[in-house]
Amino acid sequence: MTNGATRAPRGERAVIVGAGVAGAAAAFAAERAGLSVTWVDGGVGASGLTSGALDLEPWEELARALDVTGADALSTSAEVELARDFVDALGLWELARDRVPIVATTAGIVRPTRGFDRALLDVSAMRGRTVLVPRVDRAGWDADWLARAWSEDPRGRGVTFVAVDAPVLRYEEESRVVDAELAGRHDDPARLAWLVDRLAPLVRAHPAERLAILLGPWLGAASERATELGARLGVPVGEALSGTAGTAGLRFEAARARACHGEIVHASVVRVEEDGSALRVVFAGERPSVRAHAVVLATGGLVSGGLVFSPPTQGAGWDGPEAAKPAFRLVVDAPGLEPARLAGSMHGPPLDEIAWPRGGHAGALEVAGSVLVAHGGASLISIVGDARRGAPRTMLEAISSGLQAFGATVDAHAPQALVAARI
Amino acid sequence: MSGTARRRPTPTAPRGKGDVDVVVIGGGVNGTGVARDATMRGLKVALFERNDLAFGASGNSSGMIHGGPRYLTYDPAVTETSCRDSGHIQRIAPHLLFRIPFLFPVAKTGTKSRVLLTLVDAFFQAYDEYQPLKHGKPHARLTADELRRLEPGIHGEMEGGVSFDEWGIDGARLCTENAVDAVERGAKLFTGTTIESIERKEGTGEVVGVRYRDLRNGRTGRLTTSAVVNATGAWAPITAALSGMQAQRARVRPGKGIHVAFDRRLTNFAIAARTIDGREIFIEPWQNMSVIGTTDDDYYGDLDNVFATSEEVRYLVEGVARVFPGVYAGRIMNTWAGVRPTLYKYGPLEDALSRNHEVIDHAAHGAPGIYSMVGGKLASYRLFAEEMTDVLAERFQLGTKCATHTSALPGGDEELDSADVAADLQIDAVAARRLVYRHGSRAQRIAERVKERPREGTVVCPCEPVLEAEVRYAVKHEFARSVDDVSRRTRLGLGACGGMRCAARCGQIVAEERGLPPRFAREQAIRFLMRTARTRVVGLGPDQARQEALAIASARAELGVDADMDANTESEPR
Repeated sequence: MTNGATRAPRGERAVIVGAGVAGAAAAFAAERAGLSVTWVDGGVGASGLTSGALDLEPWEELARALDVTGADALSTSAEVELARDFVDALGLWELARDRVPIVATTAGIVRPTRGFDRALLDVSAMRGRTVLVPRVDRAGWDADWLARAWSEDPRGRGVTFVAVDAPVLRYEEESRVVDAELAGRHDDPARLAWLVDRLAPLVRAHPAERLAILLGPWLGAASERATELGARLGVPVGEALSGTAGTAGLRFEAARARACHGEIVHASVVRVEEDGSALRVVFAGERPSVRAHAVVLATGGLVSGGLVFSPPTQGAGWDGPEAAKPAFRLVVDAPGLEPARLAGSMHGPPLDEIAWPRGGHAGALEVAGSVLVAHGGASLISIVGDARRGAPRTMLEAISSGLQAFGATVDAHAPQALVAARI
Repeated sequence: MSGTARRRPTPTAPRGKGDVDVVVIGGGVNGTGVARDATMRGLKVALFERNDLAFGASGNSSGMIHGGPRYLTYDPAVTETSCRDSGHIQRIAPHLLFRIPFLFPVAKTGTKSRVLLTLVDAFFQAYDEYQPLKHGKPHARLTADELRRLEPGIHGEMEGGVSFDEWGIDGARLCTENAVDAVERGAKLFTGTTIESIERKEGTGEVVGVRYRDLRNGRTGRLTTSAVVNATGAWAPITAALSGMQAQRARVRPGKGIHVAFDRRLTNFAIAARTIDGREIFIEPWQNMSVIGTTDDDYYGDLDNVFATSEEVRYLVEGVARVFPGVYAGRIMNTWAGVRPTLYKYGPLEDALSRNHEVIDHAAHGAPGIYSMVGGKLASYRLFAEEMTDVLAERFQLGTKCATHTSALPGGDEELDSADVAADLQIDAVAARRLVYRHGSRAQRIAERVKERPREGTVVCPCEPVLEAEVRYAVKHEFARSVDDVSRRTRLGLGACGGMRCAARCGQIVAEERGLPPRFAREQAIRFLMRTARTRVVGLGPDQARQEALAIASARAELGVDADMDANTESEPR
């Protein structure tokens, strides 16, 4: 992957553009490398919508590999080892060490992952336990069906999921509020105490060492409250993984500042220019530009808005588009960014080919992005995370690319050594 | 009786001889319409559909039962029958109808356009003669200012224009309700089931039975029958050949038509426009969105996999943009494609083909008891079904008369106030209105489910919106077998989010209602997501691209996207 790892000397300024997980990792790495960091935060984008699974590859690939090679071979990977310090610094997530974690999804599936938000219940540690699934009157949560689906999923072998009656919602309208709202209510210690009282009778009715409780993504928005809930009840408690826009993203949003102690600038960057032997980062509006010896573009992909799809027909006049424009472009201009190819048609790219993943191949919407090409100032710039063309859109891939922007390398053969060799 | 074919005395047949009297093949409006009519007249009917009800042209039309002013000059009989039958449909399914007022703008081009406007005015004056048949309002001649006041987004200097009146309908609901009524009156329905052969007697060539196969679980079977109605639309020649006849005996000229749907209503009126090659197209307000239609191109592809292409989308959008440029800034969130079974004729351009219909009695081809329905339009489906059933009535010597124009379709018997439903169930007013639109008085049955099990009042698809009770009802009482089927009946998952929020949950409910293991819930959900994504990306713009990327990420996290999932064939346990 051509990210163009920067080689800025200690004490120089690095500007990290983007405050999602790739940007946070880059900021963390830059600070470790002894650079003085300016971190441009224009919102968290896709990282704020993350499900809470720290995937490296699409999980079906991991699942297939597990079926073939067994768990031990995959319990660690170079990217996971590289990410460990960063993940510890954030204090949000758990990375696999000696087993492959398994999470239950709100779609009724049990699936492997490389790491997970601590609020999530690691089903792989629940073997031999009965996992209680409270019936909660919410649209996406049919406890009876979910318990049955998870129990029947071969990946959840050894764990029994049982739907039970337990009051989790305190007010009638909580049947309808979004997951994040319900999660936020559990930030309040009084509310958490209320929930402890409600769930306690369930726990008393069973031997604690054989029990766990699984809820939806509702346990804390500012920070995860599942661990505390579990400690007070004396049994493991955790969330199921939802699709995007769950609560794990909110918790990352709240925690991301822990990645770096540099200056945080709330602004949006419009372009990066060459400035002698260094670079200049130009902001939108009145804010003065900043000179830097290293710039990391972690502006995100389509979901975040760092990459936009804008076919030439969009907003065209009555007589059609005026020019053939590239359809995908990064919102920040920078030297060395490969200009996207011109459309082969006045009306834009052949959309029939821009599809969802099919037959094992990612569609154009997933691989769209930019690459850096050799160019004067380009050696001082890196692109990380979803802004890159062709990178899998996963959390660990984003973290790993962010860390690699400052010289860390992934050596698949020596995962342990990697940690020591870090920058 | 319009256009019934070369008749030769067909031998009569006694009723009750076989397992059924009539096998109807095809679950579109014509097939479900015949199944209903024939059942009402006392025949024992089995209806077979290879995919799902309304899978083909019926569920992928412009969603209008318009009078066809276009046919007025060269085929006034089609206009008259369409208008008359449109009136009948309003009587039997009032809940499914909604008014679509049209504007026909005439651009200013000097004297020529003044003359043109006068001609257009006169033309619609002639069309007004037929309007009372379908309870439509007479046209009005409009000045350029009036036109612009009604639709400020109209571009260019206008000579003026006219307004005229049409009716919109949900074609998939129309098929579903015809099928439900037929089944409630005793017909048997087999969806997802293909006919493998139509068996005939040695010597006389008369039909004796059909062999079928359930495409999802592989179960096969045989039914004996004295009549077979081939109501398979564009599939008609394929079906005819299953009896050993030449496919050309039921020849049609398949014409692909696509539609493009936007995420909201861009205009209050439908606006007529012209494509670069002079074809008449339109942008119409339809249900809760705007729809552009339509193309008409000879089609030689796979009938089970008809999709709009980005070329076709651009062709239509460009045509509408000439008169309504705002369309270029709109957010396309869906397309659909169907294949018209137009009457066969070699030579004319697609648009010039007759929209008439015809019953072919294959006794003329040595296959007594087999009939094919070719041609037709949504607006006159009921009449076509009546004509077909008249032929069956003759074969079985029935005395009963057709009553499909007076007897209400399920839900069409009485009006239900959606405000009462909303208050009663404490659900959102919009959800209640949509529910009553789709189900008419039968919304009450879904409401009762919610009262018994309040949980079922939760919203599964927030875009449309669709309640859990309605999804369960569609599986239990409307023959839905998959998320796709539920979507066809309820419009679940067709909003801007592309099913991201509802496909998985709907899959769970379908699997549960059908007693299938949980893994089918996932498979169905993914299959639905993949298929509908294909209909969206051909019209992709910036906002939808973002949403699409998010939906992919969501599906990857929660469901997983399997490499082998885009296979068309489903398999279910026997």
